[in-house]
Amino acid sequence: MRRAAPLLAILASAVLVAAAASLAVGYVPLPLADLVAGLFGGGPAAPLVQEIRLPRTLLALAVGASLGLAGAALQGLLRNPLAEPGVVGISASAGLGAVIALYFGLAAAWPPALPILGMVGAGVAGVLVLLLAGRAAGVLSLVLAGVAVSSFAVALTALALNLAPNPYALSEMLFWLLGSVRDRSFDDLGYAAPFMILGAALLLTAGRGLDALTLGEETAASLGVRVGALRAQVVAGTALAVGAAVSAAGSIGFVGLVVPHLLRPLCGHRPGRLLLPSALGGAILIAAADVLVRLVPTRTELHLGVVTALVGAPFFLALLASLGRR
Amino acid sequence: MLLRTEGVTVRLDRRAAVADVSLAVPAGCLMALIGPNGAGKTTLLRAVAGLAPHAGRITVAGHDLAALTPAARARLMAYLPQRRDVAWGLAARDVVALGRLPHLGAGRRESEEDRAAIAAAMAAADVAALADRPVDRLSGGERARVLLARALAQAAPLLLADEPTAALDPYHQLQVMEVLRAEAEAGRAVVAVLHDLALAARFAHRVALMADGRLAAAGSPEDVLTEDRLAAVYRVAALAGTRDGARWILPWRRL
Repeated sequence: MRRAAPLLAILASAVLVAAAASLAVGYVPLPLADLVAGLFGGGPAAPLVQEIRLPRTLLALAVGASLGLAGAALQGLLRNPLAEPGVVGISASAGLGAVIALYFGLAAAWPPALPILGMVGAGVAGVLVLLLAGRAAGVLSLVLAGVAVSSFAVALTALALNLAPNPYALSEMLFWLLGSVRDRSFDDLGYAAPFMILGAALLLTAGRGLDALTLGEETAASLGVRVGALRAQVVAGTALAVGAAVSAAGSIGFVGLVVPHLLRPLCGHRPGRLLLPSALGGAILIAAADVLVRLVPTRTELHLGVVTALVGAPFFLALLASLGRR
Repeated sequence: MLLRTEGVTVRLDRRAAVADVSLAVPAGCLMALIGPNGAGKTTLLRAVAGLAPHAGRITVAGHDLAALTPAARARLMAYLPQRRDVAWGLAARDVVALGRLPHLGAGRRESEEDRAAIAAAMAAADVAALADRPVDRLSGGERARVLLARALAQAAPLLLADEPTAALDPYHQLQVMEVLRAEAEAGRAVVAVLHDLALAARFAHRVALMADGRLAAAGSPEDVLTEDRLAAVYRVAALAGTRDGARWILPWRRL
């Protein structure tokens, strides 16, 4: 386990710093003493800290961790550095599921319907991508499958919002396309968190199989890995983690692409060892991006996906160009 | 017998790619599996590795292959496929360490035994000096030896190697064959698919010749690699002789 422990310690510290910054920054200035007292349920700032800042911070961390982890696991499964929930259309399909639950009254009747339909959408997209792109996905087939699944899901989302009985539904399209963690309550977090945790557990325990898969499916099988079960485990874990994350925060792109790519050299390029650091790195990235959108003086608050796409899309193109050269 | 196949048949697209093959390989034996393209060598090897559904019976060290869990199977045999793909730029040492996966516990922490097996395998395949090099920056010959070390590190009594010398220069072909022979003489059973008749004749203890999915002949290189048989199965005329007590063969012209 060379070099794994120091990296995890550094990332964990950075998660704490990002969380503290996310709690401290907001539209209402808050003295540090009030913030700390508020965290423990006392002082004049308690309602603000407990009901606005804290759920926002926790949701940002959980969503970032889910997306970073799912990206690392998908890349390990498909042996392709471009595999990412957003790029391959899993996030957009999760958004479609969530929109159907939310605007057709299902979530109002039974709140867990929201994350569950999000996960169903993500799971369907995951299976589709696996079928379309093949098991050891080439760069081209993966990107094309992603474009197809993604565009279809976005179009169906727009259609669903158009048909929704709520006249204001379509104005929320932006939220589903670009994501945000503002104005979320502990209830929103509570519906999504158990599924994110379950998904993370599935993905984090896939490390051994993903390491073996580095040598191809047949060698992995000869090393005692049940490859079919591994595939099901990663797709299910991704569906749970990403489906629940998107149903709470909309689809936020590129997190699962940028974070594993930056951390991979620090993990000896081993897909199994990359999983936990990618979860921590995703949490840091989204918490930091969420601080940024509150600091940038725009007329209405920027969506998180705007920040991640501004960073991630050029990154994606650079990565694509470098893969093309090889 | 370490490996025994009894009436093994593999159907691909309803055609019998391997038909009724019965073989026995004892410990301490390097068996060369030879035959023309499409004779079913790789398919037979994949069936033995548990990667191709088949009819008939395969036993490894007395265990019925069909009754083994994947993990137990991985401790009995190592499989080195012909394709040398490595998806990520792992250090060579970490690639070799993947061979220890069947032996690691849930925490995946390497024991002293694991480290010793990895070091021994890297020494045997002559890749100790490459330990920290990223595998995607190695030459073809270096990568082939790193992957061979990966299979050796698995420390299984049976080693299956599919064209381990393909696309290697003569020096490295000889080196890989020497390693395989030494591993056999150290007590493993090794089955290697080979296209190079000269290497098969020179290094193998036993040769199994396949043609059209069937076993055409099996025995010592002298007995199997006769002029008549090469003419019948490969449709080539070959030069042959003996040097330093070993047989050599050179395919010379088509018939």
